[in-house]
Amino acid sequence: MNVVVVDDDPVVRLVLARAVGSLGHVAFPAETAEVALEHIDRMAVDVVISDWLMPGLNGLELCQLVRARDAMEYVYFMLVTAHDDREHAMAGIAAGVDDCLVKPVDLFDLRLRLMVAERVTDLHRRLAERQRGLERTNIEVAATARLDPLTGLGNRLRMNEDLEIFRSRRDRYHQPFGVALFDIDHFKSLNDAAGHLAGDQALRQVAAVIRRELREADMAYRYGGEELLVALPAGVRRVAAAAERIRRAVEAAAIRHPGRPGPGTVVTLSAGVAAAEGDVDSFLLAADAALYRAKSDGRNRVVVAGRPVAPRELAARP
Amino acid sequence: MRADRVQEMGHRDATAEPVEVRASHEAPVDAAVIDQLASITDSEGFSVLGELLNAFLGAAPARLEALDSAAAAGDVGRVADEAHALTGSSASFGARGMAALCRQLRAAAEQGDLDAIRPLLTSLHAEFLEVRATLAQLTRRGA
Repeated sequence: MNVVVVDDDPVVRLVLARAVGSLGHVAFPAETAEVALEHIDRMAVDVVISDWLMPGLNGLELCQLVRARDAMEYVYFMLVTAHDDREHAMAGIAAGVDDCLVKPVDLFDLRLRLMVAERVTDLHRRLAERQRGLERTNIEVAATARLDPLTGLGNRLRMNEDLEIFRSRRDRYHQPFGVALFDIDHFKSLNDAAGHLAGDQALRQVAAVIRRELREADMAYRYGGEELLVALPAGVRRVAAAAERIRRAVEAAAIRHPGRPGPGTVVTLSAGVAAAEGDVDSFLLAADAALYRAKSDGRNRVVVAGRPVAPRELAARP
Repeated sequence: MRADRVQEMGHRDATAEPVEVRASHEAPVDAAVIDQLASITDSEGFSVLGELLNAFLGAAPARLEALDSAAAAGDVGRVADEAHALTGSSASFGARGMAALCRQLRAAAEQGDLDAIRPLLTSLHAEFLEVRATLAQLTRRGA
């Protein structure tokens, strides 16, 4: 173990440091509590053996500072007190001291106490490792629980959380944002004609195209079934333009659609765009209504909530 | 147990008869403590007793001198500090009588009792000479 030995008297410090070294540990002598703290900040210290009375900070204050540190590694703290000094021993233990040694330190006693210290610090180390592992797992689980496994986009849970965040940012900082709700045209007939695996594959490909078309601040989610939602931190015109860009890109990707009637044989998207006004439910409803209109107007098009937007008009805007 | 006895004795003597502190049958240095110190080895397994004794015997005279000059100057605060420091190191080497005298010195200094300090200092000087001689003897025997 790394053991910091704190005593202002050089002779006592030398005896303790040599004794600690003789027991197979590495001793780091410190003439003041301040020097001890420097050791502790610089390296992994397992044990501190500190005198109580010293110029500058005393042993108890040193212990309190060690305990106040925001570190996972536990420092086992041993306070050395005069043999008749029960009050200080009591105050020390109450303040976070692990063990009290009586002056002059009996070397056999020191050996036993350091064995206990080793056991305790080892336990703390294993606990800290387990804790770190749990935290890592928690982060992974939280991320996985918010991911749609098929498309790799955010799932409904992630979407609900993000939209609430965007909404509060909009309310607090007046940052506008809008959503585009996409639906793969004639998805049911694709599934019926080519099977659900082909349907899954088409969804994956569409998601990949959408991801490619988005910027970093834009977010995409699988809303449900063959419906995908994109949220952009922008006004409704720019959201509509982005939706149109995505619609074209998907069409240009020429993903085969075996079940589609008519002359077209590729997967296309319809989209409903809405500015994020009011609460989340109300603008999602508005986007859904616009999507419904896009479908009824003939599919493979973008409709902005409240008004129809021709593809030509959208293309004219940056 | 022995430490307790010395301490009790020390306290009694501090209030009554401050000079002859150590009982005559009490050895200046507890040989068991020196045996323990002799068991301390360096990374190559060699005893470091010589180094430790040199550190103590080298530092103690300076402490005694500092005590003398502080007492002469009437600086009871420094007497208390130096006495405290010498308590720790002498106790670490089993010099219980010396440690007890240092504790009394500190108590007297903290009470500002300069009259008690002078005879205690005289005793401490004498005790240190005995401690030094005993340590020399013990290490010769051990070597």
